[in-house]
Amino acid sequence: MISRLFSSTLEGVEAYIVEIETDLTRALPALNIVGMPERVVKEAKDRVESAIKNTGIQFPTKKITVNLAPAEKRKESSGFDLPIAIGILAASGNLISKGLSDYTIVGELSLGGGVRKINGALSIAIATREGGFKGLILPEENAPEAAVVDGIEVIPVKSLRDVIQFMKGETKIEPFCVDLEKLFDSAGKYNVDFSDVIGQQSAKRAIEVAAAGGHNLLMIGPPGSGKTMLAKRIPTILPEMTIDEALETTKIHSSIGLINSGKGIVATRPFRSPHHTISNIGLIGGGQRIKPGEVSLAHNGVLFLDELPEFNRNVLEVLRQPLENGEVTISRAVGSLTFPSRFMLVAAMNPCPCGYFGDPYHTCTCTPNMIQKYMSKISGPLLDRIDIHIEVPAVKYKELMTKRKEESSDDIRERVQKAREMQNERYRGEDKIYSNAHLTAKAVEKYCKLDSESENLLQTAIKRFGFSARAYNRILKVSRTIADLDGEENIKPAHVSEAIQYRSLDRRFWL
Amino acid sequence: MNETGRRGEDIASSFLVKRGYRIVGRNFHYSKYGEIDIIAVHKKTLVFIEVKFRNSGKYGSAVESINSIKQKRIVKTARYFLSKKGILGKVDTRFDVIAIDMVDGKERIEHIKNAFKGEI
Repeated sequence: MISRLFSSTLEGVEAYIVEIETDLTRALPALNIVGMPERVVKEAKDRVESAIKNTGIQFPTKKITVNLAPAEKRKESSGFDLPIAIGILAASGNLISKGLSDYTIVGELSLGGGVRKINGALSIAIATREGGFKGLILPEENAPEAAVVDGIEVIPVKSLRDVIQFMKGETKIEPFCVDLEKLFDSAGKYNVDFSDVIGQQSAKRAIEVAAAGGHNLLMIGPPGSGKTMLAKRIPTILPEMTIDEALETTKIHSSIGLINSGKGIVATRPFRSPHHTISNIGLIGGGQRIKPGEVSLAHNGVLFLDELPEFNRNVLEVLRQPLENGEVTISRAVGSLTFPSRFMLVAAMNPCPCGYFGDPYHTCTCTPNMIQKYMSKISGPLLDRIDIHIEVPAVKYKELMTKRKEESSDDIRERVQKAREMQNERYRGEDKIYSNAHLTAKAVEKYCKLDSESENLLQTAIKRFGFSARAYNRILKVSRTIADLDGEENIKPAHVSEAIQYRSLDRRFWL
Repeated sequence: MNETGRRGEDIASSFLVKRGYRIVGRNFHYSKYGEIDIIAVHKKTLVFIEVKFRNSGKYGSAVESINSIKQKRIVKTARYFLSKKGILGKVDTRFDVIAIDMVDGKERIEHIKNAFKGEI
């Protein structure tokens, strides 16, 4: 007898529907799984057999063939355990149900017949809806994630027995429901705030400008000056996530099982800070089974690279495509996948190997040669993509001890949001321009016009500091953002002079 | 066939008959490939039974001695049996193991149903 039911699995971060056929024939007992199963699916055999036996049902002594269609796609997921078990029970007549193919079923089995959580529940729920199914049967822990998708019934189960009884109609399981708005509100809280950072007013201002225009940012300062602390708080002042953005990011996190059970959705902008020993694949994504890398995990959030010069040079070079396109395409023998990766790059570094170059309180022990070598680890093309460079000096002890009330993230975010709204309005008709940071050279000419006074100021600065043509463009873009923060339609001299401040690397004597 | 082996199979046969199995064959040989100790029918299922008899637990228990090579031999022989009778793919089949250990002069019988599969 043949049974037929549906499951779903991931390919990258998106899911597709898999049809599971189970055939029982009279021959020497055996259990074979076909349809390009990877190791984890092959091992399902033993889990399924034990789970069925331990649920108190006799495992059929027949030759069992399980086919996973489409057969040409490589399948690697423990989520097939549960549907395979149900398929075997249905084919052997232990479970007669008409509604079997109305649902997609996913779940990993424990030997005792319990159901364990799986990865990618959100994408699977979306695939279920698009496939026109009535609902999705999945492990209880994954229910909050899947329930975000409306239009399908999300049936949470704890064990194989639950599924059998549900299918037979012996017990009713209430579909899991969430109030998306409510979930979004409650999950959208950060546990850090800008008011935690004492002092560093100029750095804070620069960060606000970066957030308002979506500019990438490089912070240079001695150890302990608060670079990491500042960076961690950048997500809190970025505009609030929209539900679409949250779902995009959740999908990526869910595909590698990073969603806390119970939370269900990533409603805060992610902050990813990989260690500098990270490999290309870790950063960009890839691997035997193609997985998203840090750039994709930081999608719609912040990617923080601390100790930038310590990163392997070619690791930094591979950053260029995602920075440029907002997505990354990974091609391997098994296929090619595209992951979204629109993030704000925040980098931090010391001014020299010992960290104290230019620090008034410590003596730097580095030779000019060492400093030059250190700086040269960052390539021009990468620096080219970072609009704002700032110095973060060490905080004075006295300043640290003042009990001044610092501005909270909410206040700053309000200004950032306003500036972003101006930009959205301005770039409505433009393709691929979401904020000032995305302006192309041509668009800069169109949108960043200077009056004669500002023009003069910029000319003087260029002569005096020897700015390159590249720097000129960057300054214009950043001035545009500063003007937006001020709510000005035209760029004023004050905006330009502030923007000039944010080119430390072009002004410092080491470059 | 040595004395111990036969004794074990006798014990196993009477054990099975008591439980409603109909013995249809004993010591079925497939030339040099292997041998099946007992072939029985139980509730429309053809059961191939390997009997293991151990006098002492000194060398491990009876069950442990049925390794994958032994299992493959039994499967091969079973397949030969089915095709010779022309019933390959027409009946349900199963592989059982009956392990008999002598503990303090008494037999301890363990019947493992569906002990292994037909494809290894």
